[in-house]
Amino acid sequence: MKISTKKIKEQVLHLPTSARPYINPDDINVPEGYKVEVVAAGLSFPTGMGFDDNGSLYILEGGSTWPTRPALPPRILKLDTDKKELEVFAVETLGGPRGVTYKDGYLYVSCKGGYLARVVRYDLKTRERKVLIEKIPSGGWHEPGGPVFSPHDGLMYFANGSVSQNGVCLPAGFTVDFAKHPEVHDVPGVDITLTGNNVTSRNPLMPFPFLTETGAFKPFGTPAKKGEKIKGELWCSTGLWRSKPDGSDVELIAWGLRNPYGLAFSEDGELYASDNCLEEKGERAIAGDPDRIWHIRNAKTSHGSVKTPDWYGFPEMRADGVPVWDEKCKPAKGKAAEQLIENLPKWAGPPVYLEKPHSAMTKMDFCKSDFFGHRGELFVTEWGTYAPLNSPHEKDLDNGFQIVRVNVKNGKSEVFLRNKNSGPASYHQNGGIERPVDCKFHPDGKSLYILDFGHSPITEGYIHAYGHTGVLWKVTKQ
Amino acid sequence: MNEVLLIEIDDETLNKQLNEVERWFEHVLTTQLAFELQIKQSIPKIKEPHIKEALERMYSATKHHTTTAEQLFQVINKTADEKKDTILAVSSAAIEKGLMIFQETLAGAVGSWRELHHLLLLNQQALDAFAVAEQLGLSLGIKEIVLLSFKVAHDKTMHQLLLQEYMLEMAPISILYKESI
Repeated sequence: MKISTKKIKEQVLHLPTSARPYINPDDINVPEGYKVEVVAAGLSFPTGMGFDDNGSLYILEGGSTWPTRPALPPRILKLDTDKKELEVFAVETLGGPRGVTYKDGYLYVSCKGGYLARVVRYDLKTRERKVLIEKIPSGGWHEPGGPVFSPHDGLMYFANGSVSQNGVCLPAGFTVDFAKHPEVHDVPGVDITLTGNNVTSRNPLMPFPFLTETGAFKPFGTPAKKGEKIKGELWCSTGLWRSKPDGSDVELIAWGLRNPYGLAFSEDGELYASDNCLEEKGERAIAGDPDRIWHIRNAKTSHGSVKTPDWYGFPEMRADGVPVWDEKCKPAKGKAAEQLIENLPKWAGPPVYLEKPHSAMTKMDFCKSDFFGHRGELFVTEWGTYAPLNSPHEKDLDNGFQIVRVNVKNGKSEVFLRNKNSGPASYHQNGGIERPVDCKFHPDGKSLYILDFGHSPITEGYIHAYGHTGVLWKVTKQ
Repeated sequence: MNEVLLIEIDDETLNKQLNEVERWFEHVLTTQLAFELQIKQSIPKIKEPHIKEALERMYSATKHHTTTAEQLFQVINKTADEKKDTILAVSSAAIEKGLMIFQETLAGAVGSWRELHHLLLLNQQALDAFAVAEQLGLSLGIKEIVLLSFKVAHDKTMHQLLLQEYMLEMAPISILYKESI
């Protein structure tokens, strides 16, 4: 597939895309000694990126919001960051590539779309494509994470989020993927026993508003029974796995991760996962769940040694350790949650970092450069809230829309990049950042590239996402 | 100064895509005019006062929707004026052809109920056309297309529910009792 590009020598851009007509790095704040510039504009729903060892940047397009339209080409673009030359490296199938990493001559890509999520591998020289993993239950709300490779054991680590939004498949899902896959449901990573608490809701598949009941780990409209046993599966939802680079010898090391979109290894081989909060809306609404960064402790264990994967809390625990049926979780909007799993596994928390709810922490990268500064800190993109849709609180309206640097040792953070006015640029009709979705350090250690998904406005009634409004930014240490 | 790469938003690419969008907008206008013509013709034939009243309200909204269909062309610096007469003729012919097909396939149903059935299908076509226009606006990053077409698609979704209810409600009388309603 060909791609049309044009190079211009301007830093303040006036564009024909009326949804994002103006881009200006001067509207963005970064610490003194750093400079922001625009590398590329016009990307369509970019979701992730990764460098190869030569400094070529692979950018994934063809993401979506909710509902999952419009679909635009799920392309893997290759950008020569020196010559500013762009080509289409490959086009994926079934929707969207979400995460990409390079290792030893191959590009590894995680993909959403269709019922099963996948990890595929491309030979950089021949561009031959091979499907490595194709059994991850998906077809619902949340996203693949990774793949990333451990500097500790050389294995591939990858994850996938939950099918349901808050633990039970509910009518809101039919505005997303349930219409395409009405039989989908979450799958536990270990054997569990259900309480038999079901969630009552209307049934959007029926013409009259008779109510239906749905249980956890069940398709919509299927109730659970008290004491019912559900078998844990290797290919569960909310899981985090590792395998050899060719996809063999898969091992589940963690589950209960709601939306582990960002995975990153520190230089000393510790694995961290970003994760998004439960939402305060709908028929199982949970208030006050923070966004978080988890430390995946099992990543340091030897391959094949994990008998019981660690459980990180979904769908029963807030990230601050409060069970979701506690008084503190009672929602201002929606129906309060009840306990779903009778025999709760041991919680693997607390997280190493808590962030404001609905900041929507997405992808991230550890700084490994003394020159850039803040070596050893985790730079995390925060896509930004969908309040008022997913939170009834005015205080949540500006959460996210920034890059933070997190010290994973002490749980403290500082904002690294943010618009001069809070919130996305479109709130103030200025030229700053909209929704940062990924950040990666260039192999030369001099600059941080930031991928901005583009303009995705929100009201209480709908979400839109505009193509050709994505931007690639670069922050360089002066 | 640093070079910036523009991806598929240069004039040449955009003009090419907008030409395709214009063709879709012609389809939007065709389906919309077909619906407007049909509802205008149907209202006098409906004898049930509450259905007639509902369709009159729908007709009023429909005229605004036709104006919106024309405004879509203006957003992309095109005009619907030259095309409207041709489109109107095509729409009229399409309706005539469509009605004939319906008469052959509606199980002998009689009366103005057939008008409701026809309106239901024509509204769905126009609804889909506006909804696709919205997707094109989203894809190209042109919010004016989205704002115009989203509102019409939303109105027409409500109209579709109404038409379906009346069509189903009145079907047995038309089919079983052959009354003219």
